[in-house]
Amino acid sequence: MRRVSRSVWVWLLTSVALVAVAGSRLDARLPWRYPLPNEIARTEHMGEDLGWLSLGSHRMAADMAYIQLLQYYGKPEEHEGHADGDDHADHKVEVSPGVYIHDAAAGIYPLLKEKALRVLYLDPFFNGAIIELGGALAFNQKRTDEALDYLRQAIRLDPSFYRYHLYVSAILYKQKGDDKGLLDMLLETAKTADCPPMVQGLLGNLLKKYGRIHEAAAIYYRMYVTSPRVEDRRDAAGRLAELLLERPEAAQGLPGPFPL
Amino acid sequence: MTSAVLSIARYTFIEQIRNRLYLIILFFGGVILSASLLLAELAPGHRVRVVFDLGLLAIELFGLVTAVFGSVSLVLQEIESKTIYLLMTRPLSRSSYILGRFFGLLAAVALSMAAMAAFHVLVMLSNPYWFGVFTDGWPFWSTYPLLVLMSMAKMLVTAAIALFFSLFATSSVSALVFTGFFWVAGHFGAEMAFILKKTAAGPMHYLFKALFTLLPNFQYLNFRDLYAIPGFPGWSFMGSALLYAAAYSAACLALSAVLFSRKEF
Repeated sequence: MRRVSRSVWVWLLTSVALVAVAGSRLDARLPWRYPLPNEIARTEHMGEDLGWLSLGSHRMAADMAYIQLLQYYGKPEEHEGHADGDDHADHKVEVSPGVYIHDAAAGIYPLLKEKALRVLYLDPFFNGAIIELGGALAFNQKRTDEALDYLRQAIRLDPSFYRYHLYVSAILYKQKGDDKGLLDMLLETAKTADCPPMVQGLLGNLLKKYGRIHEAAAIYYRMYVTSPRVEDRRDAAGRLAELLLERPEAAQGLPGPFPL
Repeated sequence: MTSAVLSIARYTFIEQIRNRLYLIILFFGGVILSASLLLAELAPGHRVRVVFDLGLLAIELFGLVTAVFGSVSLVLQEIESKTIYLLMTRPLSRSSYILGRFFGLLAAVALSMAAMAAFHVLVMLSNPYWFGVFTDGWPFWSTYPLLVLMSMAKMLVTAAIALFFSLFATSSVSALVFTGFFWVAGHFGAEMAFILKKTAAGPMHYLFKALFTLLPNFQYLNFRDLYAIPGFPGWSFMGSALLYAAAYSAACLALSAVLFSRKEF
């Protein structure tokens, strides 16, 4: 057997020592805050989720969970009082007295919270989707208790995201039927660029209800311009057209001619 | 020694980039990155995020395939084809040979990952409006190269492990299986640390401790997930993580050099 040169042994020992030093430094500072798999693995998709995690990808796992949730939430199944496949594109949900929002996916979705929790526990920093799902539970599905529980879990996992608190407050106002408080909270949440279209729509309707038609027109316009989904843009266009037909003076202050 | 290492690295690099598998992987990398646009259409509010996440994962996985298959066949193929006898007649130390082969492979892997990353950015830029929304509020252009660099650091460690196992197991399949196990287990570092804390002192505790020490902790290098955590220390953490990757792969290379030195030709 050939002898191994001494330099190779020195090289090996030095490397092992450096691994130990760097490893202990990193252990002390690793900011790992993703939930452990025993918290994540709570749905029928456990195997799939663990597969993504074994590739070191919490974010991709959450993206896939979010896409699967949208496919579930976009389906007309379990639509109360209608057979599967019914067209319910014009379904309106009354979110507070006299204030309606359009909900393309109106119906009963018993697994919505469970699926939303799956997204949350896979990636608690997927803030835009988490807010959207909390809003869907609270305002579209009128399941405020579930929405509050959902957002409280989101706050526990990522307390630094202050907008969760705003949404919790808005939902609490809605629960109490305090439209004024709800309006103030929604105005605050709408200041951010990633405010979900559904919340913008609700805010516009509340503003319209209180006679603040210029602000309502502006928020519908913003919803029309920035919404990623065609259905939301169509919805925003409908609401703005309706407002402008009722109160043409609301068009003052809009950035340009409304592109109907 | 340095010139010998460089010469071997150069011919290994050329050999790798002329390899059909390398080109096929690059092609499929491009296909998957393009296809991510279709998947993104299913998440209308988060299109660029899906393209971003899937792209980074694809770059890493295709890099992994190149690195692992390349490493496993790096020395074994030359032993099987007996071309190694020719090389060993030259005034070349065995550790220089191992280092040259390894760095040549690594350069080829880094090149393929960089090419895929450039294409990935173009795919993301295909929708400038949503790209702007996605990158609003964080420095994309300074962060993205670091994410790719840390994926390359993972490849450095994985390729070194694969090379070690190819010499230790002397069979491509078992080397692939062992490397795959290390890759997967390495991504559960935080979970293993948690189990370690929860188990009382005893045989299981020491078994986990030994595994925790021996296995690479890829979560130190997993910046694809780490960068999104609020308060992530960034640069200072990255320095230690790169040192860890370099030291871990150096240890694997040293062990490979020991195994290779003891082989009789």
